[in-house]
Amino acid sequence: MDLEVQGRIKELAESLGRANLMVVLGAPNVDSSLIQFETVTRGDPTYSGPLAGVELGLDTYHIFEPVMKAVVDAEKYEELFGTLELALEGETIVQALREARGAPAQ
Amino acid sequence: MAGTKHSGLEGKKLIVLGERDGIPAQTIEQALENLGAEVVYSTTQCFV
Repeated sequence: MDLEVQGRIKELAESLGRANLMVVLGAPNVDSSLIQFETVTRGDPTYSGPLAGVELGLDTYHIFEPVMKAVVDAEKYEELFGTLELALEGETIVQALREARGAPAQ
Repeated sequence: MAGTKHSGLEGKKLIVLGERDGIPAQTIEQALENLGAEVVYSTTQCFV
């Protein structure tokens, strides 16, 4: 994740508090999703940015995850993400993030 | 007319991290508008 982006997220977490802050990801694949998830929850895994060693523990979801799908109007969701979800293998991203949170594989 | 449905996002401050090769932040914002959450930071990253 860009160092500048990490810096902004760190500032926001400090100024707004972590409790109400939530991160929504639109990454195109498993690797990118996992790196971003890791960075805003457990700290920058590359140890190169402002979030190195900083465990923000922010609520973080990919837009393909059921919890996000549930809050968006179904028709709108299909229109915006239906094709992308298939093309980007959304289910593998969802599964990888589920495992990253410590849930058993399905 | 939608708008009164409880979304679970009311009062949340959102950080939207889009990606050019995936889903741009603007598209995610479009999906989450009118759900009671405030986007406090939004960026579409590009990795080449």
